[in-house]
Amino acid sequence: MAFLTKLEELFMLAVFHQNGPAGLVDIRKYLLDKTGKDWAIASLYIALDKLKKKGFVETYKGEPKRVRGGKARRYYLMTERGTQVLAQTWKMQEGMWKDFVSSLARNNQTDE
Amino acid sequence: MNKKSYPPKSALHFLMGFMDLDERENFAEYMDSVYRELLLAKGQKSARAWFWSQFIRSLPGLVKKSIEGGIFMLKNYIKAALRNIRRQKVYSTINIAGLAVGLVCCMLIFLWVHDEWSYDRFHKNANRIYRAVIVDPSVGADKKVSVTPIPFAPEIKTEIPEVVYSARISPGSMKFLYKDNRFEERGLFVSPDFLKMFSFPFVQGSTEKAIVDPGTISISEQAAKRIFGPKDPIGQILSTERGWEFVITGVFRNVPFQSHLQFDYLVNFRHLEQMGRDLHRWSDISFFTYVMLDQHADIRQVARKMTECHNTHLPELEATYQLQPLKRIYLDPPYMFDMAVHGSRQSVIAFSIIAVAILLIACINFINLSTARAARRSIEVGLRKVVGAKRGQLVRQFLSESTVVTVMAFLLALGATVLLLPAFNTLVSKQISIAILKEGFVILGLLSIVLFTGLVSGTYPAVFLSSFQPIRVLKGAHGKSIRQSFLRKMLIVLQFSLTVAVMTGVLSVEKQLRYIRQMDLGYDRSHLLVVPMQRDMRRQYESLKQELLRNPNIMSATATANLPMYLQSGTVVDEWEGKTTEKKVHLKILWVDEDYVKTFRMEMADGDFFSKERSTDRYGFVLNQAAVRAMELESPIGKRAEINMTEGYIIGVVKDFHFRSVHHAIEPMVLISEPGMFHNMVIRLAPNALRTQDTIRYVETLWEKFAPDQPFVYSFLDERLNSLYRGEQLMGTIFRWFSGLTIFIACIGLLGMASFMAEQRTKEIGIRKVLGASVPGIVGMLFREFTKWVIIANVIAWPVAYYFMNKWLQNFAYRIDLGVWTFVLSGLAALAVALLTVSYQSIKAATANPADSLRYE
Repeated sequence: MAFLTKLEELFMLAVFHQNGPAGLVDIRKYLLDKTGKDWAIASLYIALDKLKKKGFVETYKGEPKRVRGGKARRYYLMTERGTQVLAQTWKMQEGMWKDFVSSLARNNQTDE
Repeated sequence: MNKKSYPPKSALHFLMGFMDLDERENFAEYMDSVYRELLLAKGQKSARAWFWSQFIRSLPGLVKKSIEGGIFMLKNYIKAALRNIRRQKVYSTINIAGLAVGLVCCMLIFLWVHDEWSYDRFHKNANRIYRAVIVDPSVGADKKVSVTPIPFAPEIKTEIPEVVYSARISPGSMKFLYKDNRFEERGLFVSPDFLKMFSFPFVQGSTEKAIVDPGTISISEQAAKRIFGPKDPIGQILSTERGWEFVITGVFRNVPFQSHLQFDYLVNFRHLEQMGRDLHRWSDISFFTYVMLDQHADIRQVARKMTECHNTHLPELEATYQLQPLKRIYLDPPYMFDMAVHGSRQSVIAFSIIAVAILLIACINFINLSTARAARRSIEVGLRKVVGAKRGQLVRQFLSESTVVTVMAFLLALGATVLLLPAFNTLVSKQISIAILKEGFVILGLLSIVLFTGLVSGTYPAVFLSSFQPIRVLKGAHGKSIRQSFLRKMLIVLQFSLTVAVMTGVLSVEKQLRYIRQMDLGYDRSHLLVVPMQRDMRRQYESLKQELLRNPNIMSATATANLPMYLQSGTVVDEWEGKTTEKKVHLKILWVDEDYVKTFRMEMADGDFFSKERSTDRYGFVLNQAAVRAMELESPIGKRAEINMTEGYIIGVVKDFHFRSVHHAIEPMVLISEPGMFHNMVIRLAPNALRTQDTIRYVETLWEKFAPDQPFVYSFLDERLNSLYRGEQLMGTIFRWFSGLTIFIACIGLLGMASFMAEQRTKEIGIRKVLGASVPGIVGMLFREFTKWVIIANVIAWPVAYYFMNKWLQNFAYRIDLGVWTFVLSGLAALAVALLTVSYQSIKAATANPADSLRYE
């Protein structure tokens, strides 16, 4: 299975959350809301580029709009594999977090 | 909407510069929209703040990514370059080989020049050390004397505050005896300041105590090894042949080759006093003086003070002083009485020019071959452009291609240089070690040579090739730009100008050297054996001579103070009978015996030479013709004169002969018969090569009979004479080699050009043939083109070559004329070589079947 870095995970979740083609502006907004951090555009852009090369997200050019001289905007979209990997990651992590919580609870009990 | 409603444009573009092309727009739009959103919501200030924080945080990541991307692309370019090189084997071989040969030449010359330049730079205080030299107007305005009065050095140290250290040096040689073995070593008598000033590190013993006591000696590691082998030399006693004894207190590291001072032992100069020399006499001008000055000293000021100091102590022999920087001594010409090893600044400059010329020729080749192949690659360029390659990418592609070729050539050249270095060392008699390739400066130099080559030879083809219009190229038209490349023709012309210039140089140097070798010196230089005589021998000279002459293979023998080419003693004559001029005449003195003229086979112009029969010859002088001219004597024979503090009569005039190297004109000279001054015996052997060894053995046996404890050392006069022109001969050798290579590289270039021309004109030639042109006619047509270039090249090269060679010849008082023929010959040679090179391609093009070349029309 593929492992994701925390950033990749965050950014992929942000793309996934858009439920369809996502522009950088929307992705940033979501991340700002959820993490409270204004991510550097380069880290976003570089991470997405890497994810694209791995085949977890894809990009396509939108219809040219009237703004900015009619240049097309680029959108990010989850691929099937990307969604799968996210699901796998969650599953694995869920199991591990559960273990963590239960052992934490056990420790607390014995301490008392 | 004002300007501020957008993010700062230049900063944005700067960031975008690090991104892929198709990412830029998206990025800009993002920045724009977020910026404007913030502007509307929170105002301009926070929008700006956001932008700049984004800018600062994003830059490192973007830069990193773009470098990674660049490396990725570079790999790609290199792969493409290697494929191209492999596909065109012949072309690539020519290209890489040409470049490699050029680089080898350039690197070897660079190493040589670097070696010449780095003399005496190893001293820690090299920048502050100077040698005091005298400008002596009585000897000639341009002549400088390298020695100073004996007490000069200590005197200036006390009188001139700027002088920190001041060392006096007197070179000499001693024969040491150790366990029945005799070792002759060359060394220096120095004052203690010597080791404080110069950096000659000691391996045993200390620098401070080494030469304080005149009874001690310090020797070099190699001398220690020669004399004592593995034994510890410290504390050993070295006795000399003359009975002096020294205790060894120090061993210093061998003097580097790159030192103009070469010595194997150091002894305190006061030892000379024990040997009977008066070290306080100002009129004894024979010690070298080296000074180390204060950091801020004004050199001219110090020299003026030195002049004053000298003139107060020695008013009867006034002199003007100059300070010669230590680092310049080696490349400066040798001054009078100089003991230093010398190079030639002129050769250094000449070879640097040649190195640059060779590299330039190699680069031009590269450019020509690359652009000439444009026709072949134009389709590739067109196709790449059609599928979306930007011009910048193509430029980068071609640049990496030329860089790959350059690097390959460089690696080849580096290997060849390492392999050739020993042979090169023998050729130029140097000791350049491979270890030098590790030195920072050398690495830097070599890298800049490669970088220069890569850039010079890569840029133009890259720009040129990437400029093709895809539509035109793919349609099959090569476009005017390829055909009428004016620049390319200019480059060929330049290349051949350089070749012709170098060739003219070689011819002139050769001609002058041959002239020197064959010049009538005024005496017969062959078959003359020279044997130095010691004091004991001098006393027995007459009887030895009689014994020698019994051998039928010994034609005559004579004795003299010094060999003519090393003549340095001189005197000034002021009084002679029939003096009509005001001037004093400076005469060289040659002490000889009565068989001198006979042995050297000189001729008398007037009067008689010395003879045993006349007792009055003790007061006789023989002048040379130059002296007669200088003294303006009408009929010199019998005239009274006072020469060298002796009253006497002129008894004869010898015809002028060249006694110094032909760099110098024949100077006025007087020959005096004075047996006390004989230091050398000159023996004329019969010109019988088979018997020569026997005869020398005969001389040796006699020698040992007369003076068993004196070594028999001999040399031949003509060989000694030749060694006077070592610098010129070296120049000739190097010139010959490198000119050959220059021509070779130029020919490679021409070969490429010829194949290009033939390819370009295939259709034209086809049509001409169809219309009835003959093969010779077409070959002639192609030849005419090249002939034109070579002739233009000649016209450019001749004046340049004339200027430089004329300058070089100015060094010789006796020199060849730079005849028209030298130039015509090198021009014709260049033409012949050029036509020979292009003939194969031309004939191939001319004999091709027009049906093939016109098939697609």
